[in-house]
Amino acid sequence: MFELAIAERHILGNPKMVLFTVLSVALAVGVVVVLIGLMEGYEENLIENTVENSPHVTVDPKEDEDYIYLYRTLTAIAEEDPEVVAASPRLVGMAAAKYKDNVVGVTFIGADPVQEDLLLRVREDMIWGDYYDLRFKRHAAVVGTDLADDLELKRGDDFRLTRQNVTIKVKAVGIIDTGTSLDQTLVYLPLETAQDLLGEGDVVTEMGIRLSDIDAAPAVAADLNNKTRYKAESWQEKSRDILDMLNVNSSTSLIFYILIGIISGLGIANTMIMIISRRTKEIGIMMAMGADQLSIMKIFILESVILGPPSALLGGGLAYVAAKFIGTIEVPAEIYIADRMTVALDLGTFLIVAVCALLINFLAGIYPAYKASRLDPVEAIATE
Amino acid sequence: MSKIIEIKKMRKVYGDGVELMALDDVDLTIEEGEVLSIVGPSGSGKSTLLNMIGLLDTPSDGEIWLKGQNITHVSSKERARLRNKELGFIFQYHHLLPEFDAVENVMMPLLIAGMDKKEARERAIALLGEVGLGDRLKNKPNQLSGGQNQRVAVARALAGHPSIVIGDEPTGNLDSKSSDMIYELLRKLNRQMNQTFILVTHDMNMAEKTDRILRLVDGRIVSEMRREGDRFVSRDLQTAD
Repeated sequence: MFELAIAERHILGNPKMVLFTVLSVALAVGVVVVLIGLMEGYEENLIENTVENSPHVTVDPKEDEDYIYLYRTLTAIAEEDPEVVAASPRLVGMAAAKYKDNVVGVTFIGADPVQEDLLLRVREDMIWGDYYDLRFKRHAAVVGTDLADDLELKRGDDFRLTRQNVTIKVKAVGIIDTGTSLDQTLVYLPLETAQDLLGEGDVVTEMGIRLSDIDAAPAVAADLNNKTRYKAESWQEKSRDILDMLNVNSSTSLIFYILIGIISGLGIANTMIMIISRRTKEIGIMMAMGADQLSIMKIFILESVILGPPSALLGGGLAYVAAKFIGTIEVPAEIYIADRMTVALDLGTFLIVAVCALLINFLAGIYPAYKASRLDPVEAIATE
Repeated sequence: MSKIIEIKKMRKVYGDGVELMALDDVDLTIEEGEVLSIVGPSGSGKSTLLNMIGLLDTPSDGEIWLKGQNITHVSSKERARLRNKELGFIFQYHHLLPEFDAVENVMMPLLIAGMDKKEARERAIALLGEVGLGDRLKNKPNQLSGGQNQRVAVARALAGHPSIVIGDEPTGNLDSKSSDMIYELLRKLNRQMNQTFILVTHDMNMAEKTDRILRLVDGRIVSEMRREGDRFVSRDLQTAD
């Protein structure tokens, strides 16, 4: 296989040009791997967020009602299902929080702390205080960390919650950091306090259910819909819009990946054309020595393809470093779903991108190699 | 002696608009083992004729026969194969591959022919010994003098045991000492292996050492002189020299 020997020497003979070509392809590989990783990381975060920070199944009031009245019965029905780990009746509403001169719109969640903690692992997110305090203190609240900052609320301070014409005074007994945008608006209250604020009596607005197996959510929701007239919805259904958006996103991304591939392919083709134009005379000599057109094509396609694996490996390395770096940057949770972006580096993704890079190298080499093989030996040898 | 090359009524026309007749009705027969020189002014068609014999170019008209076979219209793949098997080229500049050392350059036509690497290396080393470069095997072209490089090129041209060796001004770029050395080398190999040598040259000294001198002017062979002992005799028995 003399073609390989020649291809190898040509590459080693042009270290600078080759280095830049390898770098450009490596960069393309790295960028695509990181972009895919970011998308997947986002998706993972989103699902994890959805699954961890919201109920697996949510039960809403009956069609013609605003509230769930018989929530204790509903809880009992839900808990019959062996998949159900926790069923927490919750009263979710909007109010204004006021402390000194600061007023911020908040979302309050009134729930039984034990059930709510089973539902959403609330206590794991506490950065100060104990969520269970809400069991015994009627006028107590756990406040999202950003909300506390916005209100300039310090630990143990009293603040006011106002809804329509009802105002209650509560004491901040805990600060919670969920790592999501909820931290700006969240106020946890004891269920009874929330009911006082709402003024509609002993009602809840929804019931959250946690399951041992998140994939069972659609079945559990369907079962509840059969047994009751309440509207149960799985997290998959609730997140359908987001999941659809992710799909649309990934098809637009694909266009970008293809463009990146084409750009790097053109770069390789350019290098190959440069190499070939410098070596026209040599090509003529090889033809005189009896190398046929196929051999000449092989030489230059090989040269292009040889650059593939180091480019892919280097690109993988770049992606790894970039992913680690991106992972250290703090981002505001309100614009992203978590306070750190995760780049989900997946060996499978890398391998697919690497194979694409090899393919691009191969395709980019074909045209220049073809042109080289069609050179007229007499003219090629006469080239200066 | 048998005919190794026969050229019949060959014409070569270049250009689309203004046509240039590079070869005009050339008839030529070359015998096996002959050392032939082609002389003539620049642009007389010497190199074109050599490229035809070397299967690097195709005629516009006429035929070329190699060892009794009409090869005028064979495929480019077959031409490549014939160049590899039957022909060896020596150019004015050595035209060695710059990234390869002397041995590797000489091995190249053998590897193209599909010979085993080890065997090719042995043959290349033996040939380099014969051209007096046994101690420069690992040198690359930029580490050798012009004459040394041209000797490597001779070894490369001979590597595949070609029946015809073609030289386009093989010594045109060398001083007279190197030039003589190269010619003596070719002549020695010709005697040893009965290879046919076809040389285009400006150097009348060298031409006069060959067996036959063809003179080309404007694409036509205007005279042909054959050596008879120490003298050259033209085809119509006019005394040359």
